[in-house]
Amino acid sequence: MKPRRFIQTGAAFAAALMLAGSAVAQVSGEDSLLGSLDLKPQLGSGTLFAEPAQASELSEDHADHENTSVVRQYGLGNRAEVNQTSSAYGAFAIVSQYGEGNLADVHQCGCGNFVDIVQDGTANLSEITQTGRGNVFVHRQYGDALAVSVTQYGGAQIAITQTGP
Amino acid sequence: MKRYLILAASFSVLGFASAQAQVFPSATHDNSARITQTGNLNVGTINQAVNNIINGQGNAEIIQSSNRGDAAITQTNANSAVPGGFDNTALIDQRRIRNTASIDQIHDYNATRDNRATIVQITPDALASIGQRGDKNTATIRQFNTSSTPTASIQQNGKVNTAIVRQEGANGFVDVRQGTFDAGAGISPETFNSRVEVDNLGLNANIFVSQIGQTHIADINEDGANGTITVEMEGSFNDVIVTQESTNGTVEIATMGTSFSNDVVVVQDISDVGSTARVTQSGFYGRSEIEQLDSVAGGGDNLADVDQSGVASGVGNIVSTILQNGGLNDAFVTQAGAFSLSDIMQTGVGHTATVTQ
Repeated sequence: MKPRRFIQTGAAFAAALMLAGSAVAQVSGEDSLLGSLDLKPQLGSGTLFAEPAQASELSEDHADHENTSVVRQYGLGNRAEVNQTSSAYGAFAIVSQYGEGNLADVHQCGCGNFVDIVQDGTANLSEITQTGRGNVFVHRQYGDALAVSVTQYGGAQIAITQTGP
Repeated sequence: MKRYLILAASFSVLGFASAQAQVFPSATHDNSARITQTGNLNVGTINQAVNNIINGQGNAEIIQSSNRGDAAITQTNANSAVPGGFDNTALIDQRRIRNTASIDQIHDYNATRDNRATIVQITPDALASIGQRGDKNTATIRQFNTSSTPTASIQQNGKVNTAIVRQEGANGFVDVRQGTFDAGAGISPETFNSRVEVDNLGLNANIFVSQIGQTHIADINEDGANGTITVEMEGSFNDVIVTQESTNGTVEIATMGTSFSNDVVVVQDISDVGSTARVTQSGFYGRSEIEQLDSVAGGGDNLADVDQSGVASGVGNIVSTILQNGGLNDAFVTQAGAFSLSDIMQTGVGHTATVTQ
């Protein structure tokens, strides 16, 4: 019997996204400062984008036509690097890091990309580069000595939360 | 040296009596031969259906309790005229030291019955090979001496074939190829629904499996340190499952050419240290699961490297999942096509995860 212990397709993949979402649910109080940080539904409907043309580029099933990367790291001194540059319909990335001295580096090119980063711990660093229209970046950092670097070109949306102890 | 040469299946030895055996070819197409040898440097050979003449259902056994024995069984038939098909059974059983065994079986494609070849060697420096062509064949090699250097080779061509290797002892070598063996008359029209099972318990094992065709399954278990497992597949709907419970293991799995929808599962467990799992999938679709686990403590320094260059048409067609714990593990995922999904989970210290899509 094939031990498909953690293969994620279909509904399982949806569960993965929920898991990543739930990782930030613990800080829903902070989220209230920014309103809803769950921007992905808005991404799908295109309401986040200033240019009307974006809406036609993003169909209702847009979420089902992206490259997707989910990285979850627990511990110290971990490094996550995600490069999504070849997706025609936009890429989706979630990086969750729990611990100290972690680094998240995400690079996305094209339209309709989405990245959600959660870093919980001290001395974490994230570097984000998004190029293109209609990109969305949601970032949450909790701890001391945090650093974030964001570069966006195009009609991008960004939400950053940094919370100390 | 004792030498026994039995030609054609119309020869009965040691209780395999057949009154029709004197008629060639056998009227009932059933032939039986057994050789039993004790001593040193023995050679036993059984050849049933010489010169490609039909002799149908053969039963051959060679039992050797000797040093440096050599046993060979050939059961060959193509274009069988036996109504309802036929089946051949071959067994070689060798004990003591440095024995060599080989079985070649060829019968028709679309056969209703199966060929079965079994080699049992409880001897150091064992060398065994089985070649089968046709459908519904089963080849089994059991090498159980725990000292050193067993070598097992199986080649099969046709449909619904099974290759089984059970091996103990250090420095073992396993070579299993399905879809490439074409000795004898005729060529293989197709190969699918075949299965490879390899179970190795020794140190420094070197296991190679090649499957060409459709809906094959390769199930490999390796429990010794420093093991190397290489699997190559070409075709569609093939599954590879590798479980390596040791340290410093290397697993390399490649689905090549225009492969379609092949799945790979690699589990490297038990305080895994210094192991490498490398998966390369091309063609269309492809799914890979890698687990590198430190079930005890102090494990890590593992590498998981997935390169999926295939084409997909929907979510879930190209999937890579990697689970690592311990310390200093590296995970690299490269997915060239759209609709790719990568999921990496790492627990511990000093890990690196790199995803390129």
